[in-house]
Amino acid sequence: MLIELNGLTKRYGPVTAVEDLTFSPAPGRVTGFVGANGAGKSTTMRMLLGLTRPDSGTATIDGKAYAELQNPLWSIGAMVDSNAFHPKRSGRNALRVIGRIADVPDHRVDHVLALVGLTDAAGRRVGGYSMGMRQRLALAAALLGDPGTIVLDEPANGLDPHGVHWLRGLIRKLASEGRTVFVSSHLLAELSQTIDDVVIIADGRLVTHEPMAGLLERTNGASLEEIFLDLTRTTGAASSHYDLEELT
Amino acid sequence: MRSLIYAELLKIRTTRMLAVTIGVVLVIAGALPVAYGAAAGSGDQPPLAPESLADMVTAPAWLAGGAVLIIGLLASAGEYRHRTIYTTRLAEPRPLRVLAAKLAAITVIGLAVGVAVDIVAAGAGGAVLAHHGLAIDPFSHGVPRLALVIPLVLVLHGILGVAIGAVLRSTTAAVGATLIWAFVVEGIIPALTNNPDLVNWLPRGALREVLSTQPTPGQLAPLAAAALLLGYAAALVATSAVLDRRREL
Repeated sequence: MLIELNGLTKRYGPVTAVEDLTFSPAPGRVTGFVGANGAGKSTTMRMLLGLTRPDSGTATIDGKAYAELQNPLWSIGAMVDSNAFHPKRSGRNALRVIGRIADVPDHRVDHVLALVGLTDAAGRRVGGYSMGMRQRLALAAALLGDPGTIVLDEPANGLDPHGVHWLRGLIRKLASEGRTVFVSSHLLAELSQTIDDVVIIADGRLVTHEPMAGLLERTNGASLEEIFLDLTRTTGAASSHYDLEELT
Repeated sequence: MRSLIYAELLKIRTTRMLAVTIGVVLVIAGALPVAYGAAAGSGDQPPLAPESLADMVTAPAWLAGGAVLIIGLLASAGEYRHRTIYTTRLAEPRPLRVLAAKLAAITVIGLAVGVAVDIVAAGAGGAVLAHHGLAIDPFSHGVPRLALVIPLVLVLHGILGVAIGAVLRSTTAAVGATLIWAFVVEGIIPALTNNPDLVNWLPRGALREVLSTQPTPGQLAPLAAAALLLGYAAALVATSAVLDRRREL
């Protein structure tokens, strides 16, 4: 599946959240999406998923806007908010509801619950889940339709070290099966171990989009964190978000 | 579309809201005719008579209507409160289809609750009449019409609830606005406009006429009142549909 973002722009009043953003995560690879808080990552992902309307530009999946996809969960699975579950509903029922909309059979619900390690907790109410368990449930929801493209917004949030290790393995496995994985994260050290390509944005604008291997080679093996800080410092974009002196 | 309707029914079924609400409504639907029978003949209450069955069947309709309205309201506004609207929209990105599925689901629930209320209230009313040695005739005194009308009225309440919740996107605002409308605005408008008859054209007045066993002179005929209620529901649904298309999450 081919994701294409072309000239994507979104403004909220006087604030430009995303400006003329154009890139395309490569199919069958893991693309990391990196930017400071407020850089426009979540807004970009929400526009791709049809949850937010762009002011201009397009975001398409195989040439179609998200809203034009027939049964979108079979094409693209997304994790945008791990709290998007009714606290009184059990984990299994939360997924059954989503699965029913997408014509996904109940045995697939049990399969993805097992995949994210929530089988034992499936009958418990989501309100009693830890943050990490809700992240896993949101990930299970993204995988429900066995999609060829997976979009994950900060999937490692709330996961303990074992969880982060497990997530890295899962993302690599999904990519090895030929799926396109587009993942945003603040955990740059972790992300650098997982991704094939990186997209860095600052103040809603594209800073770079290139393979990790080439980027590391070009920067003499600097870490992704150092590269990110350097590139966003150059654009002046990160100065309002971070005290760079403190970080470097 | 059928999958979407099943999903909406599953959403409502998989929290305790539906079971608790229906349980309370049915208990009260059974208790009200008993209370009606106990109060009959005392003070200015008319004595029990075979035609009292119609009043006893009608008695729980207002409460049941309110309960179905709340279920509808939570079914739509609750999606925003618990942010489940994100997973819903990711699975079905066309908001009008989601709204239509919610309306269909609440129609099913309204009809089911209405029939259950009919059965419980008529059963309890019949038992009260029998206890007092009075004849039970469920096929006269307007009882069959009421038994048909009450489920439809409950459906209308549910539709109003879904539409109000979809417009306001907040359970607190939706419940508050509904209560203020029902108990404040409808009381104030006729006084403010110095036109007491205006109340007949407001939802509660129309509802009262739809549920009345005998038409009141000078007020809307039951069919006209039903058409008016449908108009209110259609206007709210159209508003929520237009807003749903325009607004972002």
